[in-house]
Amino acid sequence: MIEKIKFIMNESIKSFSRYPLQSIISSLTITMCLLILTFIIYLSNVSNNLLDNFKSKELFINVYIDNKNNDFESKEICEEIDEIIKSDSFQFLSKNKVYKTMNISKSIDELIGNDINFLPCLCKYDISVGDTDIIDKIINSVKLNHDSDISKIVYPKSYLNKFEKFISIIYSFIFLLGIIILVVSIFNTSNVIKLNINSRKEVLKTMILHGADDYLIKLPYLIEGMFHGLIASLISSSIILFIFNLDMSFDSNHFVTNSFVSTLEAKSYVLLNLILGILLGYLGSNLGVNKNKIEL
Amino acid sequence: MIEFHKVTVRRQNKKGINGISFNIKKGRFVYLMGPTGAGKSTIIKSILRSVHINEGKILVSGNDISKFKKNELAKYRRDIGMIFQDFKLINDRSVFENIALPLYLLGTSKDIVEQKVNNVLSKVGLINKKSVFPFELSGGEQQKICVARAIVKKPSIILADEPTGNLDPSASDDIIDLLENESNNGTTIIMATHNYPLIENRIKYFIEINDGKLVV
Repeated sequence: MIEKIKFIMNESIKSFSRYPLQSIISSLTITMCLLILTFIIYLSNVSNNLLDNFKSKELFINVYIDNKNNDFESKEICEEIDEIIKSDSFQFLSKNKVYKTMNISKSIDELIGNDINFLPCLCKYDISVGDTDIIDKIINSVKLNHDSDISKIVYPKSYLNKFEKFISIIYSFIFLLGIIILVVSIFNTSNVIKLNINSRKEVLKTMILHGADDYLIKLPYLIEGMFHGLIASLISSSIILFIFNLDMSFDSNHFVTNSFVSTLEAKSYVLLNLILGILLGYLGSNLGVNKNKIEL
Repeated sequence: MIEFHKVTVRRQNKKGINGISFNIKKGRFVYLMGPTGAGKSTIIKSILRSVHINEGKILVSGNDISKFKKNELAKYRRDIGMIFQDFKLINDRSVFENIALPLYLLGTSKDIVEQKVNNVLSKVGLINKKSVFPFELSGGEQQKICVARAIVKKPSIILADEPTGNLDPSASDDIIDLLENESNNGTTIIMATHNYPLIENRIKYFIEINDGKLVV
């Protein structure tokens, strides 16, 4: 049995020198499929980033403190509220700062003069929690404890829900696209391997006539397909690592721009490529061998 | 050793064999004779079970080979040496690798393969050609390699389908000498030929067929 295993391995490895063109074509086909699949994985990562960044960088709980409280009192209330919210960070805007953020025309500005006590202070809480139910609970808890101190709490829940739905549709589309591309990749690889087998039909016939068992015919092709997948994943991984090492830093701090920076590390893509490459090679050759039955 | 019981094999071009019966004893060298299209190759292919047997049964060492399943068939074929008119050597493998193939299929270890292939190459007088590729050899040399590949595993049966069909008389004599030598060692040999002058001085046993039937 050991000798037969050695023979199978030998046949698989030697096929690279015996049929270099077929091996190159097969490996490059898998490489192309892997690069497209990697791009799909990258897109799904981008859509995840979009939602996460939107939640963390664009959404705040804005608490307007009742205008009866002065800046000092308001800041203390804000700190107390933060103990309930447990935000990542919070920003306190005094009445003056709130006034400056308002685009007030010069004539009204003169009218108001220095009397801005009617304005509330604002506390902006940055929270990483994305679940709107949890945020509702937090807001209710804040209202319960500080109802008399608060003028208004603003959280763009419907905006977030719409954005989440939009991202979910994009995510489903990417997932579907990924499945279709995976299936097409398997058939594509199997067709290339089928052509490889076709070109070696005479060799196989000779082996069958000499009493080769079924596994001695099939296994070398399966292992060969896995080798092609391995080579393809090494090529695609090299391309991915090259892209990762390109200097593509963004000046913009906008959450959409930042979302295009992959949060998946290069090694994760390499690992995925290795697994997918070998799997594609195996499935493709398995399908190719089964489609191409040689009976004598 | 080999028994045909009213065997019928129908082939697409209406050639084939029709209700043939015969018996070949172990260790005999039997010539299958007849004109082109008589059904000689069909008999060879029937024994190898590379064609479907429509009627009758073929017993080889008492086993009905028409009922063999895939794995049994592979095992059975490993005990048969096959020589083809068109050689069927694998052109992208060296002479050594071609001859070693049946031994590897049997699971023979590398050292023994090397020893057996060298022995058989010395026997056919082509030891100096073991690293070359089949397409670099003459027709006669290619057929000798084909014989070497058939005898290297010491099979019980050797089937030769027109092995001298593409060779000159001298090369043809060499091939038959090699086969007779194997027959003297106890191997059953069935050789199809339509070249009667080549074998008339050697013939001991023969089966003559014409139009798919035995000529009595």
